[in-house]
Amino acid sequence: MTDWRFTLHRMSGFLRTLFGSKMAIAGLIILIVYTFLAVGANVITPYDPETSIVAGAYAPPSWYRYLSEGSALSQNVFLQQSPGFFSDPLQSGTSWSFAASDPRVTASYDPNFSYVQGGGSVRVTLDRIAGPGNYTATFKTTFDWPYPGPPARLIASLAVNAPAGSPELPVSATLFVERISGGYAKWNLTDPTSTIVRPAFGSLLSKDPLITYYRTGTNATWVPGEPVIYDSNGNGKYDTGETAIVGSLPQKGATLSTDPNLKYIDTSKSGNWTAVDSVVYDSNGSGFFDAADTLVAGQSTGNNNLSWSSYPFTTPGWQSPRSLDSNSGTLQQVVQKRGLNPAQLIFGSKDQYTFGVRVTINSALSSATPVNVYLDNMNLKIYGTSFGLLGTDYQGADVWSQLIYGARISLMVGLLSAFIGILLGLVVGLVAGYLGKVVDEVLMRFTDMLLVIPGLPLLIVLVTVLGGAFGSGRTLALILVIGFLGWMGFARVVRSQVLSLKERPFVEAAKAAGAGSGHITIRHILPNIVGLIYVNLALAVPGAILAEAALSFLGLGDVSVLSWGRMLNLVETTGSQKIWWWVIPPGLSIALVSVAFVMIGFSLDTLFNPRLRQRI
Amino acid sequence: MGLRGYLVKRSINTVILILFVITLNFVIFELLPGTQGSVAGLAENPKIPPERKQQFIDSELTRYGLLCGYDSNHNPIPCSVWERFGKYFWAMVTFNFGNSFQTGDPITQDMIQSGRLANTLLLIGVSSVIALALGIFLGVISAKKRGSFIDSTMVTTSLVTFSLPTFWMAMVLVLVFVFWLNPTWPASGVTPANWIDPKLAPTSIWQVIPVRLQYLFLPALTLTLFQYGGHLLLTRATMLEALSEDYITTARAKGLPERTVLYKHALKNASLPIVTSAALNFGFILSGAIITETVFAWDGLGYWLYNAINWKDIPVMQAMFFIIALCVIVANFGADVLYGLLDPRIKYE
Repeated sequence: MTDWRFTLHRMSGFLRTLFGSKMAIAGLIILIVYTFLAVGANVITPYDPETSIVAGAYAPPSWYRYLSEGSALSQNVFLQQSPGFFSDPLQSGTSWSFAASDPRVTASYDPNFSYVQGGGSVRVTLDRIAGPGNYTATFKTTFDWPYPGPPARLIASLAVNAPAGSPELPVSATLFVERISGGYAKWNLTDPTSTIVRPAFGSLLSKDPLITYYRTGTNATWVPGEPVIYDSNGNGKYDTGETAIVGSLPQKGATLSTDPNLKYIDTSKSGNWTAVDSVVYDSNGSGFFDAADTLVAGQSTGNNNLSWSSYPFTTPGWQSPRSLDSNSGTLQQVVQKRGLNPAQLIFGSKDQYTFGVRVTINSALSSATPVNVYLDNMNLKIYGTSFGLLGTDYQGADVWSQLIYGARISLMVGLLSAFIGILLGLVVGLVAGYLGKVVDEVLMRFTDMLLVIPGLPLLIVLVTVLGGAFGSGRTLALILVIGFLGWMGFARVVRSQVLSLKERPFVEAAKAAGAGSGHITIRHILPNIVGLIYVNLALAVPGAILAEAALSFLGLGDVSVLSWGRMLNLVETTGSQKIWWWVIPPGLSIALVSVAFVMIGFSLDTLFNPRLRQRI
Repeated sequence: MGLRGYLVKRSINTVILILFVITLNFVIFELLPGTQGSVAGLAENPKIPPERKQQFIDSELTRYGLLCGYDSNHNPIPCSVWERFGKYFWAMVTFNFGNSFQTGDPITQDMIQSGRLANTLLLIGVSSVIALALGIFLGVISAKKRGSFIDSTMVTTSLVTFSLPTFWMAMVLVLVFVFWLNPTWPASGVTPANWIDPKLAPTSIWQVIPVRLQYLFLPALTLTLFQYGGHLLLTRATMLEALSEDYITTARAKGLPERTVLYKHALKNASLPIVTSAALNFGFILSGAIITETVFAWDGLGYWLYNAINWKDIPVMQAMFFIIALCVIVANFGADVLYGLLDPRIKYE
């Protein structure tokens, strides 16, 4: 009973003395904060430090918007946090609205049929009794873009459940984002292989210098190297009698078709086009591709989600969600010829916008059975140009998440390596000091030799050589190598202490009582150097953290986890040295944690060595 | 034992240490798992003509004792560990480090003729001299004004620069000097990239020096900041000790000006540990130089080692580790000798 009381009393006395020093308090506060961040990383941040894309690449922290340089920055706008219709979007009072080209197309909410587990979906129904025809329905919502500057990226997504019945019943879906106030401000991303998109009759043809027009009426012969020809009467306008869509590539010397089912071709590439290229047209005649213009993007041969083969849906049932991404290769390729990003193009300023889907049902038969098309998982994610506490890295991942997940690795490596080092040093020091003679001589010569060899190069070669053998467990290799090279200094300290302790009367008394050297070492000498162990443990951690950081910075760390050193390695290898919100936090954290351990170590030192107290 | 005996003992110690380093190098690279068959990496070097490849590999394997001839069926005969160690030992002692996997050239050529050694010596030399001068100067001031605001500021700043991660300090310097203050300032390299073309390289030394100094500035600043804190703290400590000695009181009592007391009497006696610690810290400086050179792509030995890591260029790493360890051992020996020669008070056991 008295035992724990004494322990408690002793502990509280120890802590009281320790907290008498400001240094110890400051160090402990820093450590507690970082430990809390490291332990609670999964609770504090929902994002994976490396794979979650949370905003545009190189987005500064969101508080930077309050400074004058950052006033044009935007933040994320997500239409819905989790996509899916969990309540009826067609009720009055919601921002969603439905419009149809014909009263026979109706919409309703189906609460039990959904792509998303537990939600419902919007059902678009066509009554086919009236006969064949082209029916269009639009389902859309409005939202605010409250920032003066453009976003970094936008991703629109949709899941469609199409009925069986193609090819007599082709269904297509087009996602769009429109600016409400500007008449032409359409962001119309669609699939040119499914829908024929043409400019309105009478609209001006492009003055874009990248597009050249030839008169098909007067010069109907294909000349090698010539761009596309599609203005048949040469009045500069797209009007009746003219078409501009080519189904297949013209052969050299072929006569160009006047077939109304021609397709658009990228005119900027003379001679060398493929059927999937895209064209840009100038809807407002400003001569440039701007916010008022429409982009018709083709299906690229690569893997991107810009548009999809929605026409016709060949398999009935829920299709996996499709998305339109402004980072998509095709879109970038087209727009960046003009030095713009698609997301910047459409969101030029504060305004109201519409996001929605246009469903086209091309019914070829009359039938008593109605057609149902289900829409779900509709969402629009607009990634801003600023994010969170510490901004984003080169691919748009959250730096704050990286920092707190990095704290885990750095603290773990630091503590474990220091622990291994101290333990080894203790054993070597005790053995050398107590056994003395040849053992002492051999151990201490070995210690001295290791002390002379430069630490970092030795660490580098050992990790390089052993890292390959450890394979994926590189963090373990780092911990072991740093730990196994960190014992020499402490071994010397322990040895000198043991040498002085073993001459003390209480050791002689124990010897006289018949205690063996093992007993004396463990029960009499060890308790007298416990203070030393604590002090040196605290002082060894910063060295281990710095060593891990340096090795990771040199690219020798574990590439599957993020530590502070590896964050800085990524800064260096991706050429992001000017991204201050990515450069400063990890290094500052390394420094703060190191200083915290040093401060605690010094305070413990003064606590255990009263002689030091006057010398401050 | 006199000075002579001490020197003999130190020399024997140094030789044993060198032998230890060679053995360690052999154990790390030849015996630990992970490097076996690394010589085969040479076969992938495009610089070596295909018809010479086998011969080249054979000669390399023989050099490292991995090949002791062929048997009658033309199967290679591996050497025993002791044979390998013998060959390896001889190669190290004769500075025959083999060929780099990156270039296929002899390592001594890549190290010396390419100017890497000179670059590193330039960087380390300039920064060490500045750091030593700065550290001693500020340390003396700090000791003189002990307990004052200046003293605590200097101690704190030197502790901070001393304990910051070097590579991070370098990155912050790049951020401040290059990206915030002067975007035209060179952030990496030793000389402008277009100087490789002899037509573009300036011929006059007066054109070369300012540009080279410009490139040297940031790496040298980093390494100076990295080092000066240690010198400052040591100078302050030894100066405080010296200032509490009786002969200082005597000097002051004689009416000598404070400057003379400080620099002629106190610093002279306090300087010995500073000078020797500068030599003893050589390994520490080299570690800093490896990191600094990496950040600034300063084409010296450290940057070479960094590239060797990425290329898994084992011969270069082997040679670099040996040379760095050798330099540190020699510097330690030098410091010991210096100490023995300069301080007549030392008693040798």
